Amino acid sequence: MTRIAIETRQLSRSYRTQRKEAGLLASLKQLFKPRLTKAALLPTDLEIPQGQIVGLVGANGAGKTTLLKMLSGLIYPTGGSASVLGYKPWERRYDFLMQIGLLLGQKNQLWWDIPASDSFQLLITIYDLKRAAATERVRELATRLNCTHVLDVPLRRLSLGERMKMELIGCLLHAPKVLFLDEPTIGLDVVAQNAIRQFILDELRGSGTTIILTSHYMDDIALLADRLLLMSHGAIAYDGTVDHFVSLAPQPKRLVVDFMEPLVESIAISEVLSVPKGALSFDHALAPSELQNALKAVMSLGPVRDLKIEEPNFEDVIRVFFEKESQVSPGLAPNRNRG
Amino acid sequence: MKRSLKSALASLRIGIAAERAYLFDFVVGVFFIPLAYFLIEVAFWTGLIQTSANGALAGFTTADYLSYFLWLLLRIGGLNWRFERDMIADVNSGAVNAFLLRPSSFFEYNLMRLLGQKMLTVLVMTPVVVGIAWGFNLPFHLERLPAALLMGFLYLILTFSLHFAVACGAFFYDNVYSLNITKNMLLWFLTGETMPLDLLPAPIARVVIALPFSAGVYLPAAYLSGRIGTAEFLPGFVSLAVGGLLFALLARWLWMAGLKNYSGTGA
Repeated sequence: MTRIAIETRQLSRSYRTQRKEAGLLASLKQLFKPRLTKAALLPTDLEIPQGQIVGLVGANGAGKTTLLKMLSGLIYPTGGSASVLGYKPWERRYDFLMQIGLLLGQKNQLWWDIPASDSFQLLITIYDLKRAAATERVRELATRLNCTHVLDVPLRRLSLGERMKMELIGCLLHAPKVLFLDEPTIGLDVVAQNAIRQFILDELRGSGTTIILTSHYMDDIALLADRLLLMSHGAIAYDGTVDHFVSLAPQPKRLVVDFMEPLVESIAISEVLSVPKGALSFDHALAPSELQNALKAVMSLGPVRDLKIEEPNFEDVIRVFFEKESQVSPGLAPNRNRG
Repeated sequence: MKRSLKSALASLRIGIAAERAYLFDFVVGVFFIPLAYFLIEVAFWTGLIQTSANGALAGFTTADYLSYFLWLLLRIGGLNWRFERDMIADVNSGAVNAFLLRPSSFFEYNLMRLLGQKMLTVLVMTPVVVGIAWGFNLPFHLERLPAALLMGFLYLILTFSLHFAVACGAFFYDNVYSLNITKNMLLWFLTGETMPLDLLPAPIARVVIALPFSAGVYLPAAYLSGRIGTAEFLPGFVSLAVGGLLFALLARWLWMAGLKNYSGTGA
């Protein structure tokens, strides 16, 4: 039986906030206005088996970082419960902290003023690791990430990509059982993005480490995640695989055909679309329901040199989803889909 | 216990390494700020005593006052605005996350960092203090120095708890720098850094000296310079113990309450 590493029951979090209009008078009025409560995460039930890599995707403000912060113990929930490796995260027990790691793409967790190698020595002490073996592990990870040459340079002097590699090493040094990666590739150039992505794939996939990964780069999710959690307005809007999510998309597929010879007669592909006489190629987006008839019609026209059916791209599907969701009132929780 | 000690020593090392990274600022903070405080007090009190008819103030001469203010050169429990600003900024900016997500302590790390800094100041400045006392023939009881230093370091732990409590205010308010400055202004007075506390009107002096803050400057400085005797000095340890416990509890309470209020800034 697969063990559950992370479990939440009706876990929720709201923040108290104030809206302030511009101007001195508005500032004075604000003193007497009650604070507003904003729900960052609506009551959420979730189960993540040990060893699974979960891609957490959502627009800005969807609630994904709030969920991550609660599961890592950084903040308290305002409702519900959560269990990570059997611990309540926000109690931050010693044994719990020894088994988790959190990488924040937009925040340094190593010491800014000193070289990463000094920070790693402190982490070795904090996590009570065997010094020789852990130092060797740092070397090994740095070699694989191609960053041994910057181990002894103060963190503040490193490029964003180099810093992120150091943060990743710091996060993995104690071999955490649960790893939270919050936008590990944000702001990096394509080479650095690819290096980090490949490293996670090689080092962590199949290692038994449970990972929750958030990213605005859909390539990260498509390549690394076993499971996609799509968040919208503080709730999980989709829970399933990336492939299934893409297959649910009502977006058209693209049919591209090159004929061997010009068509001898015009032919109707659908109710509104036809291929004119003399055409040498055909390139149109078709609804999934139209595709079968279109293929039959095309094949009956004559010899075909090349034929391609282009699937909708994950990034396009997500973009369309976000665009639709942005038009929904934030007060309304979207329907939950499973796949 | 063994792990905690190892972690504390590692924090001390990392604190020193972090200070080393900004060597110029560190040197100015550790050596020149105490010197500036000392020289200001020397100029002020020398000028004041010169205006008196008998060359003394409240029965003490210029030499007595100079000896009293020598303690400022050590500045064990003295203000360190840069350090406190950093601690507030860590809470404010979310840099504290690095401690919350690891089996490590923000309190311990910063205390160790401060202790490392102060130990370095004391090591370098003690010979300077003794040299000035000897060179200018000031009334200075060298044999009392270990007890005075012990009180100074205990006061440092107390005052650190207070700094920490103020830094925890950043969990509730975006900026607590003004609160920190207010606290420091009060401490400046209550420790006896601006003037020996026994110069205050008697009823006020009794109360202020009984407070644990007098262990910051007044008690050790007056003890070293012979202004007070052992009987007046020793009760300072009791008020330090009581005050230290109270401030440690306050710091802990604010820390726990702050974490419940924390939104994980910057994460």
